[in-house]
Amino acid sequence: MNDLTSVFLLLTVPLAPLLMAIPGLRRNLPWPVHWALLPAGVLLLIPGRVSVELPWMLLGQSGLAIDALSRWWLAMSVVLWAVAAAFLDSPGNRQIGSSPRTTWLLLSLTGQMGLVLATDLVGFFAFSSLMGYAFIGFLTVNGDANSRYAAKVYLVLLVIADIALFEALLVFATISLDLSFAGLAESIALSSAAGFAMLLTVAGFSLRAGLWPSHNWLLAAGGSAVPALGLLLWGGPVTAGLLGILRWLPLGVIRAAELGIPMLLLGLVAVLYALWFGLTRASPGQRTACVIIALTGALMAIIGGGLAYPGFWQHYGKLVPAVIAGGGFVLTLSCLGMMVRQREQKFSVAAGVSETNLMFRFEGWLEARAYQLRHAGQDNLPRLLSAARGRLFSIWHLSEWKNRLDSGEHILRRWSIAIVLFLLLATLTTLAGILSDSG
Amino acid sequence: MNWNSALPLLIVGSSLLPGIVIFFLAEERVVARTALNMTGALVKMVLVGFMLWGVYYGEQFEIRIPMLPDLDLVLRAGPLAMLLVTLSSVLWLVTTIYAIGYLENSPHRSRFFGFFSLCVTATVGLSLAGNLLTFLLFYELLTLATYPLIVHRGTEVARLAGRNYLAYTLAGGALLLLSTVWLYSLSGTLEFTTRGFLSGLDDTHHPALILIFIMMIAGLGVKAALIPLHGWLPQAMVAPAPVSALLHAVAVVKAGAFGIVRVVHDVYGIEFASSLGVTLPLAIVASATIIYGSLRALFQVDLKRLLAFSTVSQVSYIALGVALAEPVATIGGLVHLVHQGVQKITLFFCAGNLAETLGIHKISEMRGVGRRMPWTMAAFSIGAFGMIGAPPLTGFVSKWYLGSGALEAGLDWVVLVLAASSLLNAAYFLPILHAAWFKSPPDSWPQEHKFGRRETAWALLAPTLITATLTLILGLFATAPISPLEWVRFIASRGFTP
Repeated sequence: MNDLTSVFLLLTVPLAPLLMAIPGLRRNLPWPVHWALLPAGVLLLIPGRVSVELPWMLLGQSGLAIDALSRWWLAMSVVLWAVAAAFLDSPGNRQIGSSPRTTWLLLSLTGQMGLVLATDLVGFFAFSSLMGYAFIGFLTVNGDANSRYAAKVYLVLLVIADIALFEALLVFATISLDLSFAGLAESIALSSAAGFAMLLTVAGFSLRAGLWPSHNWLLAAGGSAVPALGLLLWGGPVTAGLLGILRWLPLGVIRAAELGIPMLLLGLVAVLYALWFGLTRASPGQRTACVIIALTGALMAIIGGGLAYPGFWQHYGKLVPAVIAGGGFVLTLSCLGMMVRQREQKFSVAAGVSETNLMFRFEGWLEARAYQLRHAGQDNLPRLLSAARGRLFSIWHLSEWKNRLDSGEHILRRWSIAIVLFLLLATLTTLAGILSDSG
Repeated sequence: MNWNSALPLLIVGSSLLPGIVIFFLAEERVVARTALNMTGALVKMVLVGFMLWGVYYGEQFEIRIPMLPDLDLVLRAGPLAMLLVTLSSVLWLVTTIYAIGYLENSPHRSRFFGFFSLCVTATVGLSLAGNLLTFLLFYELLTLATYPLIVHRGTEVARLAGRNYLAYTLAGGALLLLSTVWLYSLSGTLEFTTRGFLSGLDDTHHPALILIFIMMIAGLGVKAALIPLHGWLPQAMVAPAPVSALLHAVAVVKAGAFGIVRVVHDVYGIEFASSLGVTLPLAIVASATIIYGSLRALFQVDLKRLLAFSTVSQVSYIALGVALAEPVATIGGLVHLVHQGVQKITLFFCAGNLAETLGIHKISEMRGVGRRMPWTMAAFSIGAFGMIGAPPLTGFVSKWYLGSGALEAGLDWVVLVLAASSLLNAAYFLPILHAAWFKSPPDSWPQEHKFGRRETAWALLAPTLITATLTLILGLFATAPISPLEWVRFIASRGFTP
């Protein structure tokens, strides 16, 4: 059923949060995130595949569609974001509409909705970038020290991940002219040059998802005093990274053991690390992050297994949605538990703070080095250059021209007159030329 | 003379005549000067619109005016010429509005706007040039018209920057003149043609042609700010913000980059230039400039100086795209002519807004400025993300085509250069955005001016928002039928088809 109403609804799924991100359009509106999720909720009720092509967007192959995988993923996103937003900043309060934090959250939601519905790699990349950068804004604005630190680390990882994914996109484009998910899968399966692009894809999305050892920002964000953050991290950046791997790579079709087995091992190490850290060192908030790291590791291990053994994916690939949904459920419970504890005990996050103190010290060291480099570039290099230039152009500096040009307004007045006269002469010559030509 | 031959002259004249008249206006004739400026800019836009339509449907617009024996002054509108003509006429209108607001109550406005108009006249003239001689004339006029704009403030620093600018650009112009004369003595013609006019020359001339190519690129490379000829550009940022915007986005650096495109495509021809082996060294110089400019930008503390080094880096994308000698990369290079223009003009407008409204010049003064000037900083963020190459902004589209073209040409290292450039761009732009949006504002700004409930004057804010919107729209709807990308594809298809 691809009628006009369905297509309109499909377009409003990312457009509604985008429009509501404009502060003037949601002023004094309670529950803004939930209103923005409404079109997605309605779309889920429409059965069958709905799609729209957007040939004038980006590189000409973009589109939005809801199929079996995206329907499931959209449902999960709607539930997770709605639950998370319900725990954030008293959503029923009318003042929430004016909060800059809500703007970033809605922009991030736009990216999330878009990437779930995207039908091609470029569209997915664009929406996931929006989601990632807006999520950094969400973490930073009015955030505590832990979430701001997490945002900084995530920003660096995101930039590196985006560059890796851009390079992967370029290589995929040399393999296939068709960059839709369906078209690319066939080309990758037939190409022998896809290995490097697949490696970049896995690396890029692993960084985005916070897979161990790039998990530090998840721990820092977990140390934040906002319980719903864990749920948002899971429903946003982490699962978006995982969806990227699922969408971009033809799992179950190709065999890539050289990539799959390291992923499998890395995933298992991540699970073990998360268990060890969560049980021995983590603060209550960080335990939520440990759950996320463990789940991400488990999913990465399944995906790695799927790449190494296509048969394994055909059997166990179906577990991925269940693990993600289960993770969402566990995190919701954890989030609720934390809120109750926060209200009753006002527990401290001392463990998180002590660890992040170390991080801040490292950050301070980095900033000091950057300061030195900046001043090295600012002070020494121009001085050296000007000395060299002084020697080279000593004749120029001594010349009469310098004095003439330095006479300020006087020279500029003459300059104007000279140029006007020159142009009048040129105009007259041109007219004479035209007249003689026509004569 | 019919309409088709008069139109190129009218387009050049639409800014030349107001410019000359403005020189004679007294300072207090604000209304007359504004009316002249705006009328000239609007008339030019309308005329360019007519010409663009005509060129799209295959009409010929050409005028030849005899100047020297066997050498005419030729103005001809082709698809490539229209790319820069359209860009300069659209951005001239926007910059004129901005300059009117920016220079309100400043001294010497008649002189400023006179030269401002001449600057655009020269840019449009060199875009429409049908041969090297015409190009050279307008290229030098641009040098002479820009100098007074750079020294406009009259400070010691401005005069030093102006002197350096003249030293660099006149030397570059002399080199270009010398190589043009030499080329004419060898070939007997200077007419731009789609596949170049040198491939028919005898093999014995090849060493001379290589030397001429080097001289021409060096001459044009001064304005295009290729290393090591870029020294004037960061110094010239002392000019008022509208001049910097014009210099970096439309006029001077674009004239150099456009000249390189003309020499490679319409003088030598891309296939012949490749066979001479001159394109790969050009690609290497352009790549080195991309990295060098970004590295220097990383260590700047002055906002406009940082943007100037960013221009050094970004303009070389154009030269790189052309030098890769491959259709897809050429599309990336040519479309960046437009994309870099809208991105960089946005950033310079924002820098001007910050300086005029709050007295902010240093990056360290930008803490929390996003809360005080949210619209300006939103525009700055769009421009900065465009420079980084984040989708769906214009920079992403340019980098996509450059990267794809490099892989098609088998020059994989270029992709690494692009990646490094993106990383460095992120390293110098993102800390600014972080400080502006997420750090607490200071108790007082360096030099604050109040504009009632608005964050700054409308004449400053409106052009900034227009160009920021263009940065977004031209990227998001890159493949729409009337987009710069589609126009550039049209140009590339003509230059490369057998």
